[in-house]
Amino acid sequence: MELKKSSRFTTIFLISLLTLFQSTILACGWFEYAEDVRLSLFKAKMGNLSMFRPFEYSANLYNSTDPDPEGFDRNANCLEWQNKLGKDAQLNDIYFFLYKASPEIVENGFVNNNLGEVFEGNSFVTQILLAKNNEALKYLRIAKKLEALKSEEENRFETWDNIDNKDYAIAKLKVRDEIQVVLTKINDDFLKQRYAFLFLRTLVEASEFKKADLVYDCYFIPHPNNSIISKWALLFKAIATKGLGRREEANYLFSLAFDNCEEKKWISFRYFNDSIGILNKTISMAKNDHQKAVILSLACLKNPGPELNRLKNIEALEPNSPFFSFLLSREINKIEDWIFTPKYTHYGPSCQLKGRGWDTDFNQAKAANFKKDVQYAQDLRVFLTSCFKKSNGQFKNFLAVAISHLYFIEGNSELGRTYLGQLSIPIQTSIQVQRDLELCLLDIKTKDIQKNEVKQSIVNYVLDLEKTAKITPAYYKDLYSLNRVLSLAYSEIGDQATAGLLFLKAEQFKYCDGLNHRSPDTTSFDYFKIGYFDRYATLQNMDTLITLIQKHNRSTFENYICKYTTIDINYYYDLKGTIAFRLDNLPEAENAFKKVPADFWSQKYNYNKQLNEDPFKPKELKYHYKRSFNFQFNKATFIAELTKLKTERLSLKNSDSLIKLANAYFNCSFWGNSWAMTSYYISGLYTNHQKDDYNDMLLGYSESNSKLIGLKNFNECALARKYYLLALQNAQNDEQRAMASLMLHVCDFKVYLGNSCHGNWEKAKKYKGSKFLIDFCSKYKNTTTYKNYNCPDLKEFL
Amino acid sequence: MIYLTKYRPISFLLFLTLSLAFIGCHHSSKKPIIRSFCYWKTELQMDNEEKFNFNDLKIKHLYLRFFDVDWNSFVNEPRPIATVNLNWPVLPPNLEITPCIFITNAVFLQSRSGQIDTLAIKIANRIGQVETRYDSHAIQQWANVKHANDSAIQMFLLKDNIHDLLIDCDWTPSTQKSYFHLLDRLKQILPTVKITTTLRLWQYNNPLKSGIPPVSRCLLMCYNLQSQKDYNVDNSISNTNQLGKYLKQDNYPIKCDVALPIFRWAVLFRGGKYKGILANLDFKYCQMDTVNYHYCGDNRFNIKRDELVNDQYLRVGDELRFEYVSPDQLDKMIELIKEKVPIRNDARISFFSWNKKYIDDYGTKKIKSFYDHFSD
Repeated sequence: MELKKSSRFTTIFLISLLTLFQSTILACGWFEYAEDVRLSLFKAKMGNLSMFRPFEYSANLYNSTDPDPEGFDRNANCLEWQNKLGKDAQLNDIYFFLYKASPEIVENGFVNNNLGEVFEGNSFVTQILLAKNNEALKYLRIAKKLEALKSEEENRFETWDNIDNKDYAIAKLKVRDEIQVVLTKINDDFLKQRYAFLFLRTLVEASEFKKADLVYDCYFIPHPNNSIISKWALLFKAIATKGLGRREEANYLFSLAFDNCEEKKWISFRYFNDSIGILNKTISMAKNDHQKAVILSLACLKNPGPELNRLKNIEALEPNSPFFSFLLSREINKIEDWIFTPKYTHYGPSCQLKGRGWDTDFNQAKAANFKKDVQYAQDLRVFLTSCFKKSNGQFKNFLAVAISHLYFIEGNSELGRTYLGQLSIPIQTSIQVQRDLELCLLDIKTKDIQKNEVKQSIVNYVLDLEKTAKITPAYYKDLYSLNRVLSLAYSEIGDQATAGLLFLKAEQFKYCDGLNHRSPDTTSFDYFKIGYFDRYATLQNMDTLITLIQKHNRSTFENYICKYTTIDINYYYDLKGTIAFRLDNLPEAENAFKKVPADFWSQKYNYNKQLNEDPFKPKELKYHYKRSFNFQFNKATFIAELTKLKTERLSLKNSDSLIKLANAYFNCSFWGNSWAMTSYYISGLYTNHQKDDYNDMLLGYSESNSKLIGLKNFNECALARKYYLLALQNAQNDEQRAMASLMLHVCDFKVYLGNSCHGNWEKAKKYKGSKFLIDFCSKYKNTTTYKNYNCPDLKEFL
Repeated sequence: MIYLTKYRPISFLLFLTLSLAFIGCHHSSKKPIIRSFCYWKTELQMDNEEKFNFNDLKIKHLYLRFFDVDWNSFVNEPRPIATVNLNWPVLPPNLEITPCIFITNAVFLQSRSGQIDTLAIKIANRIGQVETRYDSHAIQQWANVKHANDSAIQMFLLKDNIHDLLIDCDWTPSTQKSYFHLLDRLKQILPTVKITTTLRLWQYNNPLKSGIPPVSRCLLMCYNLQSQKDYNVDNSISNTNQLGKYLKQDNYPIKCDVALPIFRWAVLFRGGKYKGILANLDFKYCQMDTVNYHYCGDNRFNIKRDELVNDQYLRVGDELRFEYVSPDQLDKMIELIKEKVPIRNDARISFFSWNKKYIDDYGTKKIKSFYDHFSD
């Protein structure tokens, strides 16, 4: 018997199989990004908090690195210019020149004296070209020059020509010298402050902190104003202060910069030091409760862990803190991640730590964390309830939806309903969306989700949310999360058909960019589209699913769950047949397979390369005959033949029929030529043969599924062995006994090799042949079967 | 027979002499390897302790990362990144240096063939710029310090100590053609410099698939053999078992230098799912802190209390897998490499990478023994 060769062939075969699957297996292993997988349903906000986007809770280090996406600070700067030059300078023209015009083009315009031509139609340029605005023109030229020098430096890419930034350094020095000269002469306060800002910034960039410190003190402290430039200057003063070693003072200044300008929030946050010693000293520098609240808020933002105590301090200091609601949203998102992500996704297969000396496994740790996190959610809710009693207006509305959501997290949805009823008009948009979402969650938890009116109500919420997501893509995460919640809800009541389709709907929204990363193609095979059902669906579920897919007058809910989630109906019939086959329910299997066109498995079927040999000739004995791969496999016919053989063996105790039946079941195991009857894929040779890291990660691994008799046969030749034993017991002659004994040895050895040795050939060689092998080689050595199939390797096990 | 009888004493003596000579040669000659190290930081700096270790290890050669090249999609061309800042005086005199240029596979996936030709020229120019900057700075500093015997500076200058160039790229079958073309172009542009390339183990093991680079010397990188993201892996950096799976053939057509790992890290998992790398967490620290960490064996710890470590929020039930190649394992790997890999006679045996922490983990005595093991 060519044991080693068969293993090599199998290994090569397995490797080639992997290429058939549509997957994103990377060269070093497949994985999903944690942020894509994270569940989140709470998005209520107080007002426009776009400048806080970098700090929204995320599995990534930062949620975004765009500091002021709506350009509040830049728009403020444009307004100041307009106030300076007059209303003839349009705001959008000012914005274009300051922030979009290429510095190179601007400089060329100056050099060639044709700036007006180059920016023809720009009202800002028209104004600055007027003689009375000559000083402003000079300033803008210098500012644009510095812009050109700055952008090359900040890029991680270097240029091929400039290894040494010396060129930039020298050019910048020249410009800086120019600024210094102008500063001593210029009288215009508006421009003076802007020159001072450029000077300050270049000094900080050159790490000349002492000089920078003096410049700020000289030009900004004596002339305090509310201009955006003075707020930006504060950041550079803070950096200089840090550079001079005055850490606590710098920390305090960073908190002021964070508080006062939108564009500098992110960089101030990055510089801010939240280590406890420095933090306490920073707080002691604060001049009022608001400043203390800002400092504590920054510390909160730095911590991805629980922050309730600090939130309580912030609330005590400044109940109306502009950061407070944002921090509360963040805290709720944390709890959602800790509780929902493990609950509604399949991440984290059981981490078996037994035998390592640690007396809990991951499931126990998960349960302990869950308990802790639910308690934390309760503590947070109690705190919010106390805030709710003393608040009003939009903040009260915000707290109402937050409390309702926390009740949902805790599993006490009904208690949250009273809070949803206390929202007062007008209701801000994001709070309204959140309220609708909470109502949907209430329906899911408290009503009969099988009823049509409830389904209609749920799908109305979902479709509204889809419309919202098209405008605000961040809501795709809510769609993903909501569909996962819905999926589990239907799964818990046994409706795997709906649950599976909702699971697939969730996948469509997972990547938060509005693009459907799953193929909308409904005809080609995509295992992922049936993978959920392959694991969890019963025969009844499959009937429900097939009926739904074929239904013409679907309800809105049914249309929603079927959109982009289904494929050719024949794949579902095939799956139903496969499930029935695993249950050893041959009549149901045959009925299902009969619904599929006869040429399906050879023409359209994705696995026609796996079902192309005679299933009644055991693959293990293949060396005795020339293998032919032209077998026209028809699953229905195959099942019919199995049924016939079973009937024959019952009536006649015909060993030949039993052997043929056993051969078929052997071939339907991992080691056979028709394994695709039982499973859609096979994996490692030496592990659980049906485990698939990619799909198990996404879809989960069904422990109960693996216990089905068909899969026990797949992994352990259970049915094959049963029928070979029966064949041996009922054998009429030595040829039958020899064949049955040989194949019983094959079954036992294969299972030993695969499930006990895990590829360890040294261990494999220690296998002691069973009575079956001994009998084959002794009692039946005069049979034709022995002469045909005796293999020198067999002697190693005797 | 007569001939033999007549000349037997002489032929016997000749035989004996030759045998003795052979035995003498066989037992007394050690393989002359070159002690090398990989320096992969952006700033070339060594404190006194590091300089002492450098001298103690008698390192004669350094793979020095000069810069990386990556694809810049804003300008649609490859661009350099993180060019090394060489400070003088750091490098000892007469130290042989091989500049290393790491190029991402994306560069070859995205570039057109004309861009590859240009890239070769730009790489050559860039290397020259780094050399010139260092050498001119060295000369200036030397002039400030030394007034006599100016020519002694020559032994410190890069231009006299660079004879070859290492291009580092994990090319794939689809980028093989472009990458090999770059190597050929570099050979034309730098005719006095030997062009060499790194070789990953999968490339070594699958020469038909990966192609054989058009160079006469390769640096075989014997580490990062498995994905650190895989929970079931014991040690993604390297171990003998995994190495053995790659070193199945001993007839790779290019003779190799060898690079071995001496770095370490901790990999974080939650429920079997990869969460990140903690490079600065110390194994001994975790071992001693039994309040927060529980040692499970096999270099794994469980987190016992929620804790913020750097920017990671570690939770109860999380698992840390410390990865490090023990000295014993390294010795076994060396044995395997000696057996299976066609090593050059003047092979450079290198360790990745120079870092005070990593050197201290093993100790210079042990690292010296690794070098000696190769030459035995």
